[in-house]
Amino acid sequence: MAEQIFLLLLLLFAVLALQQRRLRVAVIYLGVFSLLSSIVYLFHRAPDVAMAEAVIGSTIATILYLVALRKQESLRERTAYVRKIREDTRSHVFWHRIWAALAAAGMVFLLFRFYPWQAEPFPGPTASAYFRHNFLSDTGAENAVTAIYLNYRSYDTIFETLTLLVSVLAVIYLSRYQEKSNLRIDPQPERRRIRLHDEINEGISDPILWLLYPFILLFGFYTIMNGHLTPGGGFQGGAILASVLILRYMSAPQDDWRMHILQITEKLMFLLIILLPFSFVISGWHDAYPWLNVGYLILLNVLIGVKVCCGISLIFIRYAFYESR
Amino acid sequence: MQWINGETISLVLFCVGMYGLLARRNIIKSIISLMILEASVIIYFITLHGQMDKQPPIGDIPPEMMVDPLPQALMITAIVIGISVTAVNLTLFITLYHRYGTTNWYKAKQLQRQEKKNG
Amino acid sequence: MVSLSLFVLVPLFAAVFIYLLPEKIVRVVGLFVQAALFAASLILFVAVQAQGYIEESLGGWVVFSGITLGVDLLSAIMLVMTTGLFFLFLLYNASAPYVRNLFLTLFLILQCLLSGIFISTDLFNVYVLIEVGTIVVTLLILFKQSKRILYDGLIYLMINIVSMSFFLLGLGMLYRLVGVLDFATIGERAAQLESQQLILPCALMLTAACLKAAAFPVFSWLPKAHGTPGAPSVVSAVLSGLYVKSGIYLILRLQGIFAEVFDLRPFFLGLGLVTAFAGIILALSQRDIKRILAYSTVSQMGLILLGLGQGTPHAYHGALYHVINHALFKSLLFLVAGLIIEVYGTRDLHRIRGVARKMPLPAITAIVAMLGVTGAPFFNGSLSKYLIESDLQGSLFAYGLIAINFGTVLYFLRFLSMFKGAASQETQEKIPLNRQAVLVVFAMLCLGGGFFGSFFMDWIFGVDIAFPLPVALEKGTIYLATVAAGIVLHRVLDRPLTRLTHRLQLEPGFNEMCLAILVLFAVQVFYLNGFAF
Repeated sequence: MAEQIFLLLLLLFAVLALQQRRLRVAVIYLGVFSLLSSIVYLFHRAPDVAMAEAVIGSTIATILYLVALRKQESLRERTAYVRKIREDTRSHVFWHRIWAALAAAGMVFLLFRFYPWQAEPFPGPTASAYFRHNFLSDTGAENAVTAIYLNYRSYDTIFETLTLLVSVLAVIYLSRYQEKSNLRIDPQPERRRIRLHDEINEGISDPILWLLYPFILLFGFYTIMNGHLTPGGGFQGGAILASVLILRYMSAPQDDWRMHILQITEKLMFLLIILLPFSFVISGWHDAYPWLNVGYLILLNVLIGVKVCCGISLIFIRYAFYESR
Repeated sequence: MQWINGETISLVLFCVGMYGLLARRNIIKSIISLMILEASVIIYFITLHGQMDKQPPIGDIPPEMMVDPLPQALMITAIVIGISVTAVNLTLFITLYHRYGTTNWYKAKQLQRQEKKNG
Repeated sequence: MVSLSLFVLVPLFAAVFIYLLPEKIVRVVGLFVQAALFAASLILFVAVQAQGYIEESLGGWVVFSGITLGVDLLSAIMLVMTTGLFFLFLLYNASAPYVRNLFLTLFLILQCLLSGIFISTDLFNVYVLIEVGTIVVTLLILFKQSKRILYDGLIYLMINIVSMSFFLLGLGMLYRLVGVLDFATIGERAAQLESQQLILPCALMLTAACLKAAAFPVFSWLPKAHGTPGAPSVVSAVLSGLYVKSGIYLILRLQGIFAEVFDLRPFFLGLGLVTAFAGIILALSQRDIKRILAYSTVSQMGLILLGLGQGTPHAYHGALYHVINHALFKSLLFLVAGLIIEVYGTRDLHRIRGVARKMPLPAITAIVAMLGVTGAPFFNGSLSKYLIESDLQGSLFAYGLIAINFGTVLYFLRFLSMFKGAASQETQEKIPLNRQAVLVVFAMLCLGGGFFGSFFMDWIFGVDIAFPLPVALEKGTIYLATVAAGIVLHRVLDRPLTRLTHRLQLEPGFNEMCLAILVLFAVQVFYLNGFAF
């Protein structure tokens, strides 16, 4: 019953996020949507996914959107918009929405008409059954999900961390814009950082932050290192740790050396993340030395945690706090 | 009322996301719809089996009482991929806004074509 | 035994390692790694020919619990193609100024992802690899900062992510039904299920695969991505030569999974025909040389789908051989186009003249490639096209194929017009030696693929294809007739034809592209349900 209420709320907030004209409010609705989905995952007994969604999907994504909107506004404030193009007429938009709604309705019809509602689980050995029976004895992890993504499917995890690495490269490289713009931007050479930073700086004072850091760090490290015993793991803990670096950067920005160190650390961690599963799992050493299993899990979780922390902090620092470079 | 379960709602959400992609001319709205689309697939995976009477896959519990751990592991990957893609999308949007000054797909297309004509 | 995963992990490690190295040695390191990979893939190819199928379960777990890598003949061929082409591209680019740490890192990561797609047998693994690949390609096509078109990049990224969400949903539905994620086991279990249950998963995943293979109506992203000025020519060559083939590969694997349940061949037959025509019509309306090549890729993908859609061994091997051939001649054409753009400073077809005098070697190699793509006798294209049409004799499709060939000749004749005449400055352009060497290698492969076609078919596929002399003569005469008719039409009707096709040109916006995805999905459901709703 409760789960159904949350599911309906999910639907409500998704529709609200799309319908809302003010983008900031729409983004907040999206954040609530993510949080509600995290709760739904809890209902379906998926605490790892719930944590990941809450930390990464709900928090970090929402902040990314808000910063994007803030940057857009700041660009718009300092410019004169060059209007040389055809505007959308009201009937234009109206018919557009009509055919879009019809198409979406058609999709709903197709999905519901052909969906195999009455399917039973396949009578035969499934991957799920194998995992549920053997994960503890095979990998030494008490968290089956961790066992899967760190051991059984560690090959996939390498590419998962690669995704973050590539997106960091993309964010850094694509946010350099030197070419001409349609906006007549007033040159402000002495202010290289966006006003966002200054505003936040006035609000947060150092003693409070120094009080918070140890708790966040402790929680982050706990999540990472105990990922194989409790819900958590490298990804969730790494995202929590990233918040420390972001806070630290906001209060005391010393840009280049920090970004440089983070980039190098991230790449080094990734190289280790390739080497460790390859040598331990893929090459089959885990059969020869099963007592190293737990150590392997903790080590890989730590590597992933540090790498994710570096990656997310880099995305923030480059994306949120830098103007054109 | 039991037809309001994870599977049905996630399929409806998928179509809501598709509607957003089809109808919304604002780039940020399209990115939001993309996120709804991805989230709906993640919800679908987690609520696949519809077993809410079992226990989370942690600890030493009998396998019959445990929920399927594989979709959960896969969906952590999907969440990370989703955030990476969102970050790149938003960066591209900001750079695009800096260049063209518009948040509308069609206006950006017109401006780009004008630029191309001007050489 | 050496692990198969090294084909993927070695370039990945090298790529990220290169990012940290000093600039002076990165190119050498990259070339060295790539050469080693190419040699290794050749060894693997020989091994697969001997053993038939090489499998490795990573970590030694039971087959459907861990991730399994599997290499059959198709995978081995694609792997050799990937490593070989990347080696040639790295060689081509060894002296370019923008090739520094970041470019090499991204390029090698792309190679590792492609190799990963070709040797993986796990559907979710393929999903992750394609997603990462999408981000990497987006970054690569926006690489040249001063010339990049952000609109193209954003559309490319978003459309591909939308299609992969379809793929993931289909994957979820499939997982719910069968409980495993690897190709072979899913195929076995799908055969035991009712076909009604599998309609949605198949349609969803196939929609995504068709988008990646640039089928009609979802090919609009391709000219934007492959023809964009922000992409270095090597990147466009990789995308048109290899990356779009991963879509065909995915279609083949999906077809293999659902082989016992659905007969997809008539669908691909129709889809291929429409795609080929769409590509030709749009190619005829373009003035941008890279866009012409991009639309040509679309139409050739249609041709390959036509080959796959027949299901006969001849046509299947013809289609695969065309995959290889297309990689060769399209890469060559893109590289030459890149050179032309660099030298002339413009991408407009009407403003470029006298390439043959200014850059003789690239011009010759480009003409070789064009002869290949139009199917001139003794060139590789003719053999693959002959195989594709050999089982269609007499039916409507045979005439369709003649029309497709005619269209191909037409737009390449427009392309050829660049080579004639005199340039503004007569001085010959100096092309670095490594670039000349690579262009010549490509041209020789195009020629060799035709001359020694039977030998290659035997060596690569192990099939015996006879190309008897009377057939060759007949094909040759048809080709000459087509070219003659094309020249006449070109002289007479070029301008009006351009204006006509310009009218037909659609430049869909983002919303329309999503609608196209939905329409393709609906058509597939319609087809799979036996032409009913």
